[in-house]
Amino acid sequence: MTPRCRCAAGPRIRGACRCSRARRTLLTLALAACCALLVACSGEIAAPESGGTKPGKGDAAGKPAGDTPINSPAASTASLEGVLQRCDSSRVGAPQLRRLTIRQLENSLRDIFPQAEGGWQGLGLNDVSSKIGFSNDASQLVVSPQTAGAILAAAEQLAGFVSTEPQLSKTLSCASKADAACGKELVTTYGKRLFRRPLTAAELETYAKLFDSVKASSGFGAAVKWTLVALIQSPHSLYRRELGDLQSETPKLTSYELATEIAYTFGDSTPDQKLLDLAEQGKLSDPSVRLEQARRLLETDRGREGLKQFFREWLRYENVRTADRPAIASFAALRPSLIEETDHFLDQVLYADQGGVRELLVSPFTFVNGDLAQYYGFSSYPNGFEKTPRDADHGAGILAQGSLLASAANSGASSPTQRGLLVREKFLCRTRPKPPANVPPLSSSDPTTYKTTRQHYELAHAQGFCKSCHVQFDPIGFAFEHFDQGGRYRANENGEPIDATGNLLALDGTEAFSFDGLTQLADGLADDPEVVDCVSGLLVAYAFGGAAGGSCLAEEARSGLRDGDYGLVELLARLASARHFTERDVAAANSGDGASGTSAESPTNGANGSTGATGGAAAGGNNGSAGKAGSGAAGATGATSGAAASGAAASGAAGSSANAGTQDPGAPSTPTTRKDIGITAQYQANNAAPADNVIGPFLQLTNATGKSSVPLESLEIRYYFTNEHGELCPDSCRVEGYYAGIHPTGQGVTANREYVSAGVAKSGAGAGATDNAYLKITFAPGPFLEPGQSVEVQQYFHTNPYLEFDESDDYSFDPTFATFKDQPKVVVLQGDAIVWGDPPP
Amino acid sequence: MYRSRELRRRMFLKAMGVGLTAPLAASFARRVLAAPSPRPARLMVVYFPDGVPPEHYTPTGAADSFDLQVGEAVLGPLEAYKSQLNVLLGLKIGGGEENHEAISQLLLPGREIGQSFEQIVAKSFGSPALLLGAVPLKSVGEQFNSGAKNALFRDGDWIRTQVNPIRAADALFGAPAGSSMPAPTQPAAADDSAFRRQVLALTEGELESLSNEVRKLTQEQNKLAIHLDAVRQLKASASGSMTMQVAASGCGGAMPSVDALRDLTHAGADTDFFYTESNLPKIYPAQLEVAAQALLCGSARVVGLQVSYGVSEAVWSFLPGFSSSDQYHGTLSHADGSKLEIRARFAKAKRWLMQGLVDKVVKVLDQPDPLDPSHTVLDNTIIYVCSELADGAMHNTNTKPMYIDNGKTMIQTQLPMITIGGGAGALQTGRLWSFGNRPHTDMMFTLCELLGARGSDFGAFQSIAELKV
Repeated sequence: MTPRCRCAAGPRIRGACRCSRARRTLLTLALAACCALLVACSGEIAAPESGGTKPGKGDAAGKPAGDTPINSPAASTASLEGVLQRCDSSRVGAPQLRRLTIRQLENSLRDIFPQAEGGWQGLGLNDVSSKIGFSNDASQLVVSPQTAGAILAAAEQLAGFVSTEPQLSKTLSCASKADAACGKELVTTYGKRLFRRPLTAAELETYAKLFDSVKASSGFGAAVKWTLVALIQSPHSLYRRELGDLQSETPKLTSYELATEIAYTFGDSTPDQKLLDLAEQGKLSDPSVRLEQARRLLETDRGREGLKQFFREWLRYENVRTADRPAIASFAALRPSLIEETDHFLDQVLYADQGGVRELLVSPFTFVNGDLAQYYGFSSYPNGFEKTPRDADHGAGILAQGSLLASAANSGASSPTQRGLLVREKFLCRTRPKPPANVPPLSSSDPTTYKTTRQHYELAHAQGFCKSCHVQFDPIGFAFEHFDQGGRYRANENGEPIDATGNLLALDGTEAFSFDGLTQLADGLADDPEVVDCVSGLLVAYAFGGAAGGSCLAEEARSGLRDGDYGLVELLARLASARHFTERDVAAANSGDGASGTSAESPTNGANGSTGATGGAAAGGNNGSAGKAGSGAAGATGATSGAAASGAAASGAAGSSANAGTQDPGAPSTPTTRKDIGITAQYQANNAAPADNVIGPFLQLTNATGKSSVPLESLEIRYYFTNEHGELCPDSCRVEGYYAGIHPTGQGVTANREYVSAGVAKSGAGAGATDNAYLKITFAPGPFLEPGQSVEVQQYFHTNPYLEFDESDDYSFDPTFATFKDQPKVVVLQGDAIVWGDPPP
Repeated sequence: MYRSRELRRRMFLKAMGVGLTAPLAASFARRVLAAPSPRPARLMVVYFPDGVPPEHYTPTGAADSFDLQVGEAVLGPLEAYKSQLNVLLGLKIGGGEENHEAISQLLLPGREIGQSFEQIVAKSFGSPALLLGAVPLKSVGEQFNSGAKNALFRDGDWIRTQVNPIRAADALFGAPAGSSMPAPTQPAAADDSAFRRQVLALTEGELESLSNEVRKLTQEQNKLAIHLDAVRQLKASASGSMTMQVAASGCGGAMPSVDALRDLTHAGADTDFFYTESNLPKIYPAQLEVAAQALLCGSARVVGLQVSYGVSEAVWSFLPGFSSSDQYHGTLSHADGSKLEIRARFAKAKRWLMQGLVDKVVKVLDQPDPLDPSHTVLDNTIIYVCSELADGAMHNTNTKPMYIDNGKTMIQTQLPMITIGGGAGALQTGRLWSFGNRPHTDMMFTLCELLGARGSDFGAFQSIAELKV
């Protein structure tokens, strides 16, 4: 399979056709930033945890990068930017302890104690999802008081059951003797199964003492019970140990650690006897043995279910289980069947067909039983689930699954927004833009003005404020319009023929490809190597529990998938051959993104720069990752220049316009004349961190005490700051505007923003030349500021590529201005007169 | 004895089912009932998402003489309890940053860090909190189309609430005859708690040793520190016997909404039922009944209730006058100042929630306290009702002006926080407060202090002295 080039102006990289990742990265940043305050006019976009925040602003929690909060273990965690990243060769992550997921713990206990079937109820908890939706992110899996209580309660219930006859004799063949030797056998046998390694002599002694102590006071059965409780809830049982010998800086995982990693990665449960034997024999250091075991386990029921769990968490098709579709009477009863349909489909594609991403997207069949066939309007009604071909225009692959279609819909109608976002996030790994604060309800559109859902969305999102972001995903979602909120095919809606045409935009805003209907969309996606990289990156991140931010841990295996050498199951199996599978780098533990910064590989797509720049997850890394970020970003410079930033500014200006960076030819003069027209200027430090890569003041002028209207075009605002990278301006400096409007009317206004050099640095000055500059904001003719009214302007300034500023000495900057407050260090001019504020000396 | 030995074990086994840490559950009841403080204070935290339209909420009048009958009167159901009410205007969350993400610090000292304040109070009481959910998102922390963490309560990690009121009730008050709950497999040994402590001590040692082994790995050490803290909490709570005392007769009283759920044959076992949004009208009243009975009996001194979530698109057509397009978040809460009719419907929805709280909890607690008969339970309780937003359309988390009716009227949008109840005599009540954009963390700090906990355990915040008696 030869991937076709679909990217506008994308250079070929490493023989494959791909957009310049650097370019994509920068465009992502620009679009995300512009959308941060401009988008989402249906209320269907909700804020992501990260992404959409401004570049370089620390993590989603608003904490500075690298600041690990009390009571939180999180440091590195997988991000969409991370999983999309490709490198020339694979990286190695940090040593770690991975708490078993609730599911893995329950599987393990059921496998180790088959005699407990029916005697315990499980843990009754679910795990907390990571920001990309996975429940197995090692940075998030902790034993909190609630989890510890659940584990203890379950352990007592299970151990109580198996330590009582008739189960006791199944638990221990020596139980009838009820002696100390039998206690040692208990500790030795179950200790090895639960710890997944032989116990040390000290551990054997400790547990034997516990056994003897309980036995002395309460008898053999109680001793069995409490010894098992201790073993089950021991940290050696609850954590997958991937440490190796920490005396080494690059520890190799031990034989038993490898057995554990293989067992849980590919079998979702504890090592079986075969794996423990191989570990004891030291054979798991052989990659071919590991690969063989991985393949073996992936074929087991547990392995299949484990892989399916990835799909459930990735695509959330099980959300249909609790979906309400009141207009479809049969829907509620069919929800389990919709999920089962997708499970069968995945079994076929992944295992029977050994398919990859293409097969996942374009396979022209599904599995239905009689009820589902009737529900979908198929012509034949099988008794059980049977493989059934789809009509050519009835969609294809995973995206046409009823469970997925119904999960990404509203209760009373389909949702092009949700479905477009599904493709964008889950198959393109693009972060969700953060919605603005004041989102009008979708239903506010006049219902007499549209007949179809598409018309409704087009109407609601047609204007600049909404359109600037919805244009990125609604047109993708239109491809799904042949499917209603229950996932059923429809040729018409309210008597109107369905229009399922749309397009998918590249990050520079150009059209990547267009389509008519879901089948064509799926085909287009299947041809896009970016989609394959996204899916493979997500699968690797899941398998490795989010290590190293999910980036570049198995590049060779991912390339095989992209090249069509094998399918997704084999990709997963081949992770057993990755370096990260067998060794770790202690230095990576504190590198910020949790990956080795010492290896020679480098990112090929600039996404490393993206990671550092967008989520802040990589910030704090200082042993190589920062260099990578710089190189990634630097790559962006040549690839994109001003198109990204100015495009973002223009699309995101919402009634305003942004001048992407000009420089006065000479040192501007500062007026000294003053007059009072009743105007006040307020300032809000939208980004309060003094060290970051954007200058982002929010400013508000109020006609506070004036008695008459003030034409906005007569006013000029100056925000003063120092630009430590003055040599880059004007060519590589950007001023992005993302909101300008009058309060309280909400009237949008056009604001012009410029970077103005104070003349210290000129083009061609040396590196690091500092420019005492200001942002100059003026307004287009027309609007007036009436007495009592305010005009708010939001913008930020950055270099291209994004470089760090030190705002601590900036004249107008004040990090304490969390909300709008009067700022005399912002100057407002009317003509040649100062009407507010004091210019810098 | 009010409860049998079997119940003791059942409670232990099922403690997780009510969001309790299992071994804490029984000792909690023992402490509450055996040694109440001079007045046995209780706390209930209730979260209603997406703010309120202020034109239907904000009382008019003065601090000590105010009128709740504003517009659709979201606070109207509290008219009879005005003397026990505080309306807390002018609080703000964080730096005033906007949107539903504020939920992730609504009860915390910062965003996604620390312990939520009800945990501080519960620990000072020596008893775990009963944390309930009325149709929250199923996946805790899920971001897809949610916009915010689907969680409020935190201790080491997000705490997952008990979403099934039947299980919560059974765990607290015992399953009725004919219940499908399994019988205990063996009698509880008298020295179980000693063995439990012994086992936990062994685990504690293992954790300390492992922590030392990974000392080069900060993140792994942090994980183990959380684990160690959890084990120590369990160990502390395992001290003493598991005996459960009787608070008073009448506890575990009528819970008709819980019983109605039992009659839905699938409800008891079908987890999905409790995550299906159309079932909110059945589940919410049932959870309120469980909460009220738990507080009344002293089975829980701290109760938390998360009702729905910030971006729920549940259709509220179960209320009169609502249509099938009235989705809670996208339609109702997003109605801006030009959509007065929709805003009024949103207010009605919020009033329905408040009415439920009053009918099912406030009225029930307005009776002599079994632990302190000279006062009512309500006198001894603080019910803190909160939201992550001020106005659902503005998405603001601080005080901001807003124009409605096409710019004709300016109103102040403010976080809709209230308290109900006297806090065991420690809390000033019956007042309309205006704090002028004061951090809401000060409020939680103060609530900790009012209830006898150390505010500093929550964080370095300021006490609101005027709220104290």
